Formats: sequence, structure tokens, C-alpha cells
Amino acid sequence: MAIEPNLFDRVGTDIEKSQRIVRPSLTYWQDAWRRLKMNKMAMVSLIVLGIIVTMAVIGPHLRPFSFSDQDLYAVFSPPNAEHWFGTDSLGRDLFVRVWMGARVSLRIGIAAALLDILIGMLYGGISGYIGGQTDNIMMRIVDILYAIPYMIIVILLMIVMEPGELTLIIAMSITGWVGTARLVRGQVLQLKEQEFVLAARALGASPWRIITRHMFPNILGIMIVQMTMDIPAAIFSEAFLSYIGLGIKLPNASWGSLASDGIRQVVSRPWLLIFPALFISLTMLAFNLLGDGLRDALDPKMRS
Amino acid sequence: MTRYILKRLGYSLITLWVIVTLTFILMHLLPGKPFTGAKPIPPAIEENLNRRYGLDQPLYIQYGKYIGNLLKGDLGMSMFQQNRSVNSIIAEGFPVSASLGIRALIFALTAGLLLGVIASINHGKTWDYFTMFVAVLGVSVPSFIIGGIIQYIFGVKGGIIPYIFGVKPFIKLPVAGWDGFKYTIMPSFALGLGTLAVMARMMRTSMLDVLNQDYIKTAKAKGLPRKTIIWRHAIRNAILPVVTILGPLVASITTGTFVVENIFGIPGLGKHFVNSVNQNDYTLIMGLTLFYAILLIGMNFIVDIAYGFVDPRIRLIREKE
Repeated sequence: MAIEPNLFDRVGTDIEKSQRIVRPSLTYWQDAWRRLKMNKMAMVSLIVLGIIVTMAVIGPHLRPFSFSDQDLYAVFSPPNAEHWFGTDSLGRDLFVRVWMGARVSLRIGIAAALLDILIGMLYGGISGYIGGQTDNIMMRIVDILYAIPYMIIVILLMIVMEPGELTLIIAMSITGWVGTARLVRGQVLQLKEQEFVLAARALGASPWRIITRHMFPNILGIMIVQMTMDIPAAIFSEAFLSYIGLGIKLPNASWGSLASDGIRQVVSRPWLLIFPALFISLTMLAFNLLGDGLRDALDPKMRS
Repeated sequence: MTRYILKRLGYSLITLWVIVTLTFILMHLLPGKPFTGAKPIPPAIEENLNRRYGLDQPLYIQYGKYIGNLLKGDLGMSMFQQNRSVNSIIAEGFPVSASLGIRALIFALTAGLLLGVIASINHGKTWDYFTMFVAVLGVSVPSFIIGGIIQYIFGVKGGIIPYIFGVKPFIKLPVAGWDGFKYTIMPSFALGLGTLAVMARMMRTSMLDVLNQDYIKTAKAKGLPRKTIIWRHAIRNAILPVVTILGPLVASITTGTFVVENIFGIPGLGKHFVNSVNQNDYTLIMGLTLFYAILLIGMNFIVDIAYGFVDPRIRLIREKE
């Protein structure tokens, strides 16, 4: 059979059809959320964190004890129907104390991470944007702070100031912002060369406006990832400070102080360690996995 | 290159001087004096002690003297541990901490890099998830908990799962102390676990990045065996970012950690970092801070120079500057 031109039919282009938007358009954040939802580990982590935060809010009210109620007839009782997680050396209910500790640990973690990022963004942003000699001097200062052992600064502050939650937060963010500042500076140095910054400058935007309105939204993704790393780091530092006896003051509790109490009697009363250690580890694990998921979801290079 | 090295050296010296001055000021702002401890001492003795350590003189003279001694390599006498010089405290503790730190580092590096490579070449598969889960688990448990638990399992119980196929899998390890190889196993593990996790994750990210590069495609297209591509093309490039963090890592891991040394009763430097501040031991705080700073700056310096040798691209950029 011969192939002849009249066998073919010209379809042409339907302008209306080709212009039609098949899928709803997604903003960057919607797209990131869509990708995050596909990451099972990250979603499980998100749910775990949700449960832990909810329990931190309602947990202490679930049992008829307060975190400082002592019951000297029920000292060191293992987990049972009345005391779900058992009791400690003064007969205080561990279930209530663990969730009160969760409040303290999470508050410290989140507040320290927020402060870190705020200071780090401003410092790194200004340093990177202005550049030149200013940048040079500002980064030298960062180098100096970085070379002083972080532990000495934290312990020093804990001694100088009144021990407590606020001091812990300040001590951790004073040493923690240095890394964020370096990260932000690197990002800003890259962004500075891009056209939208040039455009903003040409329109007469002030440096402050360019940094806060044009650069910060562009590094927000990285900062969110950074935050999921900073929160566990702060909770960890708090646990360490509790271990050396500089943490939260009794009868208040944090996960760190409960765990370091527990480790001293792990052989005879394992529940005193198991519950706080379990929740610290679970929270760390969830934050880390969520951070990994967010990094993949927010990184434009991975978009395909 | 020489100019670059000299410039870096100059910067390092200035940084060190600022650190010394800063800690000196901070320390004297601390409430309490070295000799006003828990037990009160007669004023006459306190006066004598102050005179002996030069604390009765104005601050600027103390500072001048300290800098003068420092230039001679003398970090002064400890104010709390009587008749011991800071030099001797560091000389005693550092080798122990460094030995432990290097063991932990070797363990963390080999295992961490291996896990990272395994995860990256199995990207998105079970092995990837498994290794990364292990790595994240490593950073999820505070070291005092890990230390305490392994001490109990291997030290106290001497193998909690006593027999596998009739073979006793664990030797009973000493609970604490510092007296030979057997004593180093548990603390090295506890100390290295966090670093291992960091290494594994970093190596994985870096490997994934490299494996997407065009030259890997070229190598594949050339028909090179998978082994050659991974060993000669991918790993050699992917390991560069890991080298960068090695500087600060070596400095912090070899100067000792309070927690691990405390749990396993190791006579290292770690405890001095905490105790010196608690005891207002001015000279020891200064000595340790300076020692750490020198080590950190020195390590970063070495890593930076080494980086130029490992990666010729970096050297080119520097020469242009």
C-alpha cells in the first residue's frame, strides 16, 4: 500500500488547549510540603513530635499528682497502675515529672534555637552583605569566639548568673549562633550577586530592607533545617549540664536532669533511666529525621 | 603559597592574643576569688596566698606578668591544686585524652565513612535507610546514657547475652580505669559514636552529590568497572568536605570530654575544663582555654594547608589572591 499525503490529517495546535493549566500551580512551600509528605520517615517523625508536644501540654494533668508531690510510702516503686512510670527517691510520680521535664527541655531547645538563628541571621547577613573590611573583622570575631572552648563559656555563665531556664537558654545561644552566622554569611555572599538584589538596589531599597526582605526569605529553608538540628543540640547540652550539676534546680525537672539522676541507679531502678532516656532519644531521632526530610524537601537542587 | 601561610600565621597569632586577653578579663569578672572557697581561711593567710600568686597587684601588672610568662611558655601555677603548674597538669592529662580521642576518631572515621559510602551507593534502598537510621540513632542518645549502659552490659554483667551458638561472644571488659588496651575499648566506642554518625551523614550527602556529577557519567560511559568509579572517582572527591571538619574535630576530641572520662574513670583533661571554672582556678582556666585554642587553630591551619595539596583547585584560587 502506498503512503499518500491525503492519508494524513493535519491536527494543528489548539491554542486554548496548550495554554490550559492542567495541574494547580504550587508555591514553593506547597511543593516542599508535597515532597515532605512523600518521605515516610519524616512524616512519622512529625507525628511523633506532635504526640510528644501534646503530651508535654496535657501529660502532667492526666494523673492526680503534681511534679513535686512526695509520697514517702511509695518510694522507688516500679511502674504500676497508680504510678505509670514508677516513682523516684522521694516517691514523686515519674510520669508527671517526665512530661513536666518535656516542657522544660522543649522550651529550652526551641528558645535557644530561635535565638541562635535570630542572632546568626542578623550577624551573618550584615557581615556578608556589607562585605569588605567589615566582613573581614566580623568573621575574625567569629573565629575568636569559635576557638574558646564552648564548655568554659557555658559553665562560666551558669556560675555568674542565677541557675535556671533563662540562664540555660542564654548560655546556649551565646555559644550556638556562631555556626549559624557562618552558614548565613556563605548564603548571603552567593545571593548578593543575583539579579533580584541588583534590581532591589536599583529601585533604591535600603541595605536593611534588602537583607530582611529579599535575602532572608531565600535562606528560610536552610534556616528551618538548621533549626531542626539546633533544637536537639540544645536539649543535649542541657542534658550534659544537668549531668555535671549545673542544670535545672530541684524540684523542677528536665529530661536531662531526670536521666542523669537515673543513670546513677540504673542497676537497681532501671525505670528511672529508661523513661527519660527513651523520650530524649525519641525526640532527637524525630528531629534529626525530620531535618533530613526537610533538607531534601526544601532544597531546590533536588527539584525534578 | 608561602605568602598565604605567613598571612594565616599572623592572623592566628592575633586571634590567640585576643583570646588570652578576653579570657583574662572574663575570668576576673567571675564572682568570688580563688581563695574564698567553701571553708573560710584567716585573712592573713589569704593575703599571703594572694601575694604569692600576684593577685594583690593591680590587674594590668598581673596581665603584663602573665603575658611575659606566656612568651616563655610558662602557664603559671594552678591556684587550686597546690604546688602544681598548669604545664604539668596539661602534660599529664593531655596524652591520656589524646590517646583516647585518637582511638575514638579512628573508630568513628573508618566506620562512619564506610557507612556513608554504603548508604550512598544504595541510595533510596533498604541499606540506605538502615545505615542512616543507625547513624541518627548514634547522635540521638546522650553520651552519658550510652556510656552508662555499655558499662553495665559489658563491664558489670560481662556479656548480658552470654552464649551464641555455644560461644561466649563478649569478654568481660574492665568497668573503669586506664591501664592498657582493654580499658580503652568501651570509652573509645562511647566517645566515637557521635562523631561516627556525623561522618556517616556527611559522607553520604557528599557522595550523592559527587555521584550526580558529569565526570561520573563519563567514567560509566567509558565502561570503567563500578569498583574503580567508586574508589578512584567518587570517594576521592567526596572525602574533601570531610577533611575540612577534621580540624575542629581533632581539637575537641583529643582535649577530652568530661562525661566519658568521668564515667570510665579516665585521668584525662576533661574534668579540668569543668572543675577549673567551678574552683575559680584562674591560671588553669586560662591555660586550658589557650591550649584548646592553639590546638584548634593549629589543626585548622594544618587541615587548610593539607587541603591545598589534596585539591589542586583550592591552591590555584589562593595563588590568585
